[in-house]
Amino acid sequence: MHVLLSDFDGRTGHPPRRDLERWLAQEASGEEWKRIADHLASCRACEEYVEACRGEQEALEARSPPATFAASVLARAASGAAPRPRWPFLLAASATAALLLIAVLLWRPAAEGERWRGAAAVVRVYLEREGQRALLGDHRPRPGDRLRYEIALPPGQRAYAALVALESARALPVLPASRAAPPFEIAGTSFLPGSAALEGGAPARLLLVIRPAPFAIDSLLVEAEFAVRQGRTLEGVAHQLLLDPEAP
Amino acid sequence: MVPGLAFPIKPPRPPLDEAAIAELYRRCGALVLRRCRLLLRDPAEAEDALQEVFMRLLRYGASLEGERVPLSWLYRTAERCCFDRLRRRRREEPVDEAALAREPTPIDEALGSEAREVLGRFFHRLPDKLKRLALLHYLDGLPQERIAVELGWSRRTVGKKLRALAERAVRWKSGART
Repeated sequence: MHVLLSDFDGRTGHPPRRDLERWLAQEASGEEWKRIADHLASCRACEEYVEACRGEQEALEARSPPATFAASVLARAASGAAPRPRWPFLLAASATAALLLIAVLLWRPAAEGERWRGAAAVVRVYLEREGQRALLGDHRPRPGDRLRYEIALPPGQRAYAALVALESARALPVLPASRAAPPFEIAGTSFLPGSAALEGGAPARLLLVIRPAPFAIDSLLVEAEFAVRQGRTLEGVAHQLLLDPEAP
Repeated sequence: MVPGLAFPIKPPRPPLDEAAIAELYRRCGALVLRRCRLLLRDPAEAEDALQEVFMRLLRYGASLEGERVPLSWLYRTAERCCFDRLRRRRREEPVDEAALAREPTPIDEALGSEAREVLGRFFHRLPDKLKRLALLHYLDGLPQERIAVELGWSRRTVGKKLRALAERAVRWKSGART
């Protein structure tokens, strides 16, 4: 849902502070830009706020010029000081990043009234190429490869799993391949039925979702797309992998 | 049948180079920094958090759609960086709420007294989701409908939680711990 910048506060008549900041950040355009500009021309308080922000930007640039800041960020990133990926939706940019992950599923009550006690699922991803199978590890997946997922749950635990792909903000079912199919019920240590055959194309993320209760694939896809649009986390993501045929 | 992955081609955001980072910093640097300063109450740590936001952008920015990095993405990322830092700080040393109340930031002047209390000395007591609610409401001044969209809640839920937040602030101010 796109929210217009011009949601002026009904009580005060001022635009929300966030919108003044978006205006400063040059995110407003056309009619939205004009409405804020008109308001600023006639509102001393908002104009002062915007001017204060501009002053802070000037002071910041005097202290740390943009070119210096950018060089410093790139140098820190290159030195490996970059932050670790945030659980679970933000993803390492490289397809050769760590691909074996121990995921702790979120605690939540099960439908039957039992409790899912933070069970740990161990996920192993195997790459199948030319009749050989190996842990994905540092192998870089390429078109023609197949990926197989092995999931180990603690004894006595039961869960439901599905693999979905996200390209840009669109979610697609992979395993099971149909939106109408139920997720796979898993217990103990087992492979997810089937494999994901890589056919190349645009970069995409593969998300393995494991939840303690059954869920509908169709709903999961809607949830995933919503999570991407909102920058939110998706519940139960136990493993994710970036597939980027163009990656160096 | 073995399911395949045939993705329609859609080019990702090109990697950010030095010029693109500098341009984004010119547009949004101080805005992100003032948010970090408000949250961390420590100018030096806030500048470090600002760098961390841009490093996260380098790492994760390819998943963003469109040509421009939206301010809202930078704010959300800054909040996550700062929340992580606050948690680490809290593990290492007890929080001095009185000191937090005395550490003004440039944006404090633009806030009302309730907002200053909630975003200042009581902020660390809130769970992350309520921290975001407090920021969107007290700091950004967004109407409830837009907060609902940002947080994925109903407008009614936003209203209820804001009322609860205000009541909690009053209780805290009067000395009650919960």
